[in-house]
Amino acid sequence: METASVPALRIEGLQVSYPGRWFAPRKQAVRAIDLVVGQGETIGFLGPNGAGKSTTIKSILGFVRPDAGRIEVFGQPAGSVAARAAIGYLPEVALYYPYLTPMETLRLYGRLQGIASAPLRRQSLELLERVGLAGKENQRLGTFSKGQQQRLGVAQALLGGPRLLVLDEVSSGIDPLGRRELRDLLRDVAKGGTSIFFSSHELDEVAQLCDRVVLVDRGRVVEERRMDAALRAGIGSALETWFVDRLVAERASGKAA
Amino acid sequence: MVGRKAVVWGTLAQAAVLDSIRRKDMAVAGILSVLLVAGAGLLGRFGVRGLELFLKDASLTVIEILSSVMAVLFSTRQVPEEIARRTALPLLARPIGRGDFLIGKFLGAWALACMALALFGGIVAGMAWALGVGLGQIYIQYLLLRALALGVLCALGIALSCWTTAPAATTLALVLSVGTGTFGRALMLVEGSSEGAARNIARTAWLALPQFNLFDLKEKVAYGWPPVAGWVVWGLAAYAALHCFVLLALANARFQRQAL
Repeated sequence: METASVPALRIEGLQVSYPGRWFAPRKQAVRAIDLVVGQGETIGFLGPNGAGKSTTIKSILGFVRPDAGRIEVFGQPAGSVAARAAIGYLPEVALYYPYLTPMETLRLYGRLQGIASAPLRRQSLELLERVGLAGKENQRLGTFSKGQQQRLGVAQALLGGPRLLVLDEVSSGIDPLGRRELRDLLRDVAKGGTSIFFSSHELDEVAQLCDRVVLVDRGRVVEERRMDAALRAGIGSALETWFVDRLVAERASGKAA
Repeated sequence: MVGRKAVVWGTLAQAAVLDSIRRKDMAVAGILSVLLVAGAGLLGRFGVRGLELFLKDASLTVIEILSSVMAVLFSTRQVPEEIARRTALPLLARPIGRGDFLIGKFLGAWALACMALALFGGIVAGMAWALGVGLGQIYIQYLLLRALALGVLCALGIALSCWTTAPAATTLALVLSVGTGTFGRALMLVEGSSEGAARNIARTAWLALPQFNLFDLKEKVAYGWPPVAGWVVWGLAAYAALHCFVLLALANARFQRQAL
């Protein structure tokens, strides 16, 4: 029986490595990630390139097997069918079948989610409208720009009303106006009680959306911080200063050790 | 539960079919087969003797080669292409099993191969009818058994593509589709002329390899034989189902552990 005290996402002692070529040692992508996302919370997952953000996200979906640690989604083991039923996922680079239309694409994902035909059609049209793709329902995706594909990716992630949204580089390829629209959309989704866990390099976006930020570097959580007034005040710049200073300090302490 | 799985398999298969048809794969195959079969028909018009036998033999060879090539190409690209272009990620993020994904992809590839076979079969039947050449009832059985063989070939393509790269899987599947008859005969010779462990190994290898020549009624169609007994068709259907099951289980064993 699930209660409100069960977090949307719990990661404990996560370690992930990838096999090296031939006899090369395994490459450690995640060394020690521990974090909790409460129900209805919006968490920004920050870190430089190669910090282990995408690997952590892939572990949540069960795409990679951790060497150690435990991940639960609403109390269900990560990667299980029950856990995935609760998640809406947007991959880092969202690519879809170029010969299908947005409606056909959403129909494909919706049917895999188990949504019946009539509500699926209604939801698809509504979501395409919300992500700014109204009027392009029957255009093949091969003709779409990267930003338009990303918008469609957001629509497919929202399909079926997920309880936890996991977004990897959500605003990648989207123009500034589209980013603002996307922020508004995610804010609406969060207001509806959906938990959001997302990685991004757009610190403005993180500052405006998140309740809390988790900073990772070289596969470890460096710091977790609640988005307080000071961080929000300067929008991205204050967060950027914190982000850079914290990473520089972390790396300096790593060298000293 | 079964209904839900059927929806998942059907949805994945439908997407594979739609994607492939819109890439115009089928149109290219159709044009190619019309050209080849029409070429064979024209030779008859110019006075080649034994037109009926020649037309049947040439047309059925065209069907066999083209449908096998199509089945291999459709099946070996399904999984690697999904992973390479990352379309597999949002699909597998949905509440479906990886095994369901493989079955959906297999059904999609098999449906495409059967559509190609129906297209080639229709063209040959039309051409034969236009030239006044009778194919007989056994032609239906020929197409049916060919469809079963294509199912095994698609399962082989999916299995190989999970264990190796797409180009290597394509090459291996094509070699096996052509070569199992030769390998099978060689293994039978070894089995017949040896004893003990060698005999058992040869027998096991023969049983493990899908014997595509068992499904081949080409000669019987060409020489106008009557249809084969129903139990033969059912027996071959069971043989095909068993091989598909084993090959997809092997594919699943690898795919379950694969990092995406």
